[in-house]
Amino acid sequence: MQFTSAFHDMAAGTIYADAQARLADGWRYVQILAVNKDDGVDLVYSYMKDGYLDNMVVRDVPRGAHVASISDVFLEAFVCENEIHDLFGVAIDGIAIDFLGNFYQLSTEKPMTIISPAACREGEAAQNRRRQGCQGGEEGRC
Amino acid sequence: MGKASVIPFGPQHPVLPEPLHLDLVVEDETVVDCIPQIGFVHRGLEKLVETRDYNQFIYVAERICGICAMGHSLGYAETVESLMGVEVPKRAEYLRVIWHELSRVHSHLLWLGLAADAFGFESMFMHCWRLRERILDIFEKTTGGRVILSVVCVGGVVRDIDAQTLKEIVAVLDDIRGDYEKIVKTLLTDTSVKNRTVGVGSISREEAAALSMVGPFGRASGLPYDVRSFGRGAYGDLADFQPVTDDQGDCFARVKVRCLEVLQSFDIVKELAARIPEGDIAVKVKGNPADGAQASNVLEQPRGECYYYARGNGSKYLDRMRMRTPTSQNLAGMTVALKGCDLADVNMIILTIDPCISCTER
Repeated sequence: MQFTSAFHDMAAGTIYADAQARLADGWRYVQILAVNKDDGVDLVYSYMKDGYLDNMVVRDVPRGAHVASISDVFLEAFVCENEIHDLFGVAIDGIAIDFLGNFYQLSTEKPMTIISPAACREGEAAQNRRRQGCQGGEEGRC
Repeated sequence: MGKASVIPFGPQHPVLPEPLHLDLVVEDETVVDCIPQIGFVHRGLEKLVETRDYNQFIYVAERICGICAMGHSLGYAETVESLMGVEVPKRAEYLRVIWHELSRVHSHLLWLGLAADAFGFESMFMHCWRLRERILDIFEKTTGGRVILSVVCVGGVVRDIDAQTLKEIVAVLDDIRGDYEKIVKTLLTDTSVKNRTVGVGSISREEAAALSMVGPFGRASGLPYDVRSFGRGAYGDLADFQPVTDDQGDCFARVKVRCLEVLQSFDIVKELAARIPEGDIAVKVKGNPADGAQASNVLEQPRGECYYYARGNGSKYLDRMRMRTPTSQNLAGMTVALKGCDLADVNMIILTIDPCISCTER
């Protein structure tokens, strides 16, 4: 059996239906993750079947938006969903084992949404290089 | 019907290698529900991708957990290589797998000692860790470190193992194999071990599949899923690889699967050492991951499938690095295994899952 992986976009409203369909079709739940962006969060739901790792990307979920939990379809998803809620502030409704924001004991709310100044500077520099049409050399310098 | 009460288990407990809290709802001596609580060693390591470039972060990744250090550095490196389209030399692939399989051996021996100690088999604990010391000596000789190896880099590995040292590694494995097989025979045939593990904490194959369990925990319930079966890297050059499975799904099956996996890892290391190709051990990696590029990867850690994800933003820092570790996947299975068990069996069930909480929390 070979391993392949792919990324596909998915709408936020289809998260739960997609999970149900995959359970019925014999897919295995792998994980859920969040990626912080300027205006919101991307969520990536990953499932695997017969060596094919399918990553479903829900782009630009607005901050404060509510997303349906899939933990009543895949119970093991409760770990990732609690973590995403605590670290990214995404509201996930109906988590099977919901720690109500106390999964991790954090001193700062939504710490993964606070980007360090060094990372901001590097990100802006990379954007400037792209605007100037720089192909990037060693360490991304023109 | 007995009166229900809640007994706290952990985060400090003599059998727990790492902090994990469980609220055990018990009626008389039977556990009827289990609510896990983690978060005692959350260090926010994934956030360090913002201030450590993609070459530096490998040293953070391998410090997520001491037991799984080699695996995390390997999984991270492979993910970034996939992100940037880097092809690793063949010799480096072999060296990575040799170190990774030795890491599996040291992890399973560590766990075996802890499991034996948990049910009072102190001498077995000493013997397992004595054999583990021989593996750590190999690490020290080949990498300079016993636990944190710092030998993987994006593009390959930073150290080579010469032919003479490979022969010495194989000789050590042959030397400890006899002792190890005696240990396994004692463990798997001892009546008191069987009394504590057979029929305890059973999970059926159907339950294991429904809970997406991974690693030896899932394979002990008959699920034949092992990432090494995909044949990537040096695993693809093995003559034959079959996951070690058992169909009983109880604590004894989990012990047996891990015991046999150690012998399987010995064979893998010997086979790869015999046919390792000559060549470079790394390629130079230039540039940065492209903006918006993303990659995912899976690796068979000692505790099971570990998922890695990376996203670039055009700079030397990654936008996001994520590891979904096997224990976080198996926590749901652990709560199912604990329901209906005797309170005295909680220790053994938790240990046979081989939880790695440092990995889970990062």
